[in-house]
Amino acid sequence: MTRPLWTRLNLLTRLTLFLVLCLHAALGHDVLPQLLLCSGLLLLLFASGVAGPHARLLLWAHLLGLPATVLLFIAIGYEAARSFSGAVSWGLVEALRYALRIECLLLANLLFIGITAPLEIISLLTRPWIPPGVGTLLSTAVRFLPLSLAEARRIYDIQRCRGLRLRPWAPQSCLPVIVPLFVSQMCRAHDTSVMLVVRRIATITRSPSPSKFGPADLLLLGLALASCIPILL
Amino acid sequence: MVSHPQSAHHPLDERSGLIRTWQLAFQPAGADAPLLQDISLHIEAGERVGIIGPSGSGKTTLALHLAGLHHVALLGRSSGSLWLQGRDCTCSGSEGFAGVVLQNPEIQLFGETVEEEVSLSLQQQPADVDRQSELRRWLDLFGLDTVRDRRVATLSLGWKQRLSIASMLALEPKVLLLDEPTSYLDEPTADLLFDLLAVQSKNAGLTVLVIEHDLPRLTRWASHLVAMRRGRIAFDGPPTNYPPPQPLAPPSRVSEPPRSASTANPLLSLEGVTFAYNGHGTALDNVSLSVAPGEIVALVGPNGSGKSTLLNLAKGLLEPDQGRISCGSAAPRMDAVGLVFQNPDSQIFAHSVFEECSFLPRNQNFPPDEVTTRTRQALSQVGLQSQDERAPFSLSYGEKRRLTLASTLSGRSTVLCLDEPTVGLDRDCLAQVAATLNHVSAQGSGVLLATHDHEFVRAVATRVVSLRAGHVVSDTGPQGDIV
Repeated sequence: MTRPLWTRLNLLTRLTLFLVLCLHAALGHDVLPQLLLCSGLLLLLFASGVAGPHARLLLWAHLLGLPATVLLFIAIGYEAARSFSGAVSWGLVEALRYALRIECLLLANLLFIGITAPLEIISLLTRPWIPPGVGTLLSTAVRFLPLSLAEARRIYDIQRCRGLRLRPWAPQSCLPVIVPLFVSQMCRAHDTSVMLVVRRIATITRSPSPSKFGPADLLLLGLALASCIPILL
Repeated sequence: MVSHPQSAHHPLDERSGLIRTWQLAFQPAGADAPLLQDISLHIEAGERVGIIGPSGSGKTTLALHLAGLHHVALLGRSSGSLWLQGRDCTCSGSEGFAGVVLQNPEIQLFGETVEEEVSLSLQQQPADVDRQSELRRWLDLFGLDTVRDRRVATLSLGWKQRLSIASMLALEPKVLLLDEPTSYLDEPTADLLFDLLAVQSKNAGLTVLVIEHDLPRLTRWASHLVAMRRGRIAFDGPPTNYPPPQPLAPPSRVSEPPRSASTANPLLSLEGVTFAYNGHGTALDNVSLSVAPGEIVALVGPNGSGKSTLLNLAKGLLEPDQGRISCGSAAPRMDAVGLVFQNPDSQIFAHSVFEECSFLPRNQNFPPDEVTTRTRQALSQVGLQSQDERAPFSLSYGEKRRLTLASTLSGRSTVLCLDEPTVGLDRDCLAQVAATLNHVSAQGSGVLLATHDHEFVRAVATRVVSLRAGHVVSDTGPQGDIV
């Protein structure tokens, strides 16, 4: 069976694409390009088949927070404009820009995590020129991301069984999910770092399936780097 | 508890033996009292050591010291002396001395597929080792060859536990520490694991340290038993000298509920339920089951047989692809069925035990007075009525598990479902949970529990339903053979 293109790409290509996308999301200012980028990433996420329940939950959680974000920006706009209409028009645009930026970063992260096995990322982080301590720390963080998504979903289900209803206008309604998530992730971070030491993951310096740069890699790398020129200029 | 006199080793003997401790103590950072005190132990290579004791007695802290990982895994000060392979490791520890398998298998797996996971360990073997044949050997030993291409994320917890143990053994450590390795394993797999550990110990000289609550199993398997109580060694010697545990009290009922009741007015009824996870085959196939008032129904079966799926369907977290699930009460299934999950840390969030326990009745819109009454009743049922002002995070593991049970009992559910209620609990906590379940069923509620613990099933269940590969294969009374 032929593997999809995105899983055949070299790990460095995927990482470069991810970083370039993050750069565009973080530094881009115009709404239209951001909207196009967001739509493209959303399409890619679903096309690559990595939009599992955890990813969807995270996206929904972000969308649930949108009304509060809009209100916050309108309030900030009122401080500056001192008129309600000015505050609304400024606040809506800024809130949209902010939401798109966060959504793009979120989608790029989900996409990268979804199409890259944790071990591949760990192998990249445990090179001889990276100090073992830093490699272990970064590897823990990388291993942590997919587990955190799964744990968030599990905790949400548990609290749903206890009658939890998330309300976008009441951020404190998220506490029954956030507090156990934080506590359990602290414990998991500790256990994961211990296991990384015990299994001597940091001593593995080779990728389990090293792939070479192909024409697709070169093309995408070129496009990604070219797209950075306007930002750098 | 029989207190075996600890062997009084002279400090000069510390270099002999594989693991030797002399008056070892450990005080966690910021704590007033030590967690371990006066630990003097001597473990030879190839020994099979069982470590038992109530929750919070210091078993894991001791085991991490014996594995030379205390400096990595614990924050605090170790004193006395700890010698591993003739080297003083009291302060420095000894990375690479022991392999460790923790209770939660998910955090110790780093590969994408089963094969890749085991290969990851084999990559650290010397270059002259035939890695392919080693890979086949470990996969065969643990019955993982049938799932070698499966993604790790799609495996059940039981399979993940097997995989994590296989991956650790593939590193070929001299000492292997397993912290409650059977938590997610069915009985045959747990037996297989302990047989395998015994063989490795005999043939390869592997020293195995196992923390486990299942005393009968440990007594059969171990060559050396260490019992902990309040941070000290309460027993150290051959398991045959250790007093057998008191059996869990059987349910004290006047009479078992009539079987006709289960068909006449069931509190929960599943009819021809079929369910499949996306792309992972059928989890349940045409399952019919009912729970009547006063019944305690135990679901047993091997890993991946569909027990937890059935509970999630009963609760309403999943919807069946085919078939029908109904409740005896008019309330929605989400309210009528209570589900107690395994890990208390996944749900505790409030600042007091009372607040935590009252979360469900408040969400079910009971009036404030009734919320208070229900919460107090539920806390009293699990023996936590005097702890209502305490911060839940400061409770012991056993108390947290009882709090999660109370948090579900405080709602309006008529059927109580429990997923692996015995995991990680010592015998005192087990007796408390058994008494609570008996009390709940005596009040006319139904109980449906999924467990691997056959002793607990015999102690509390009025009916045992065996599942295998998503099918009900038997439905018997508690004294019948568990399939």
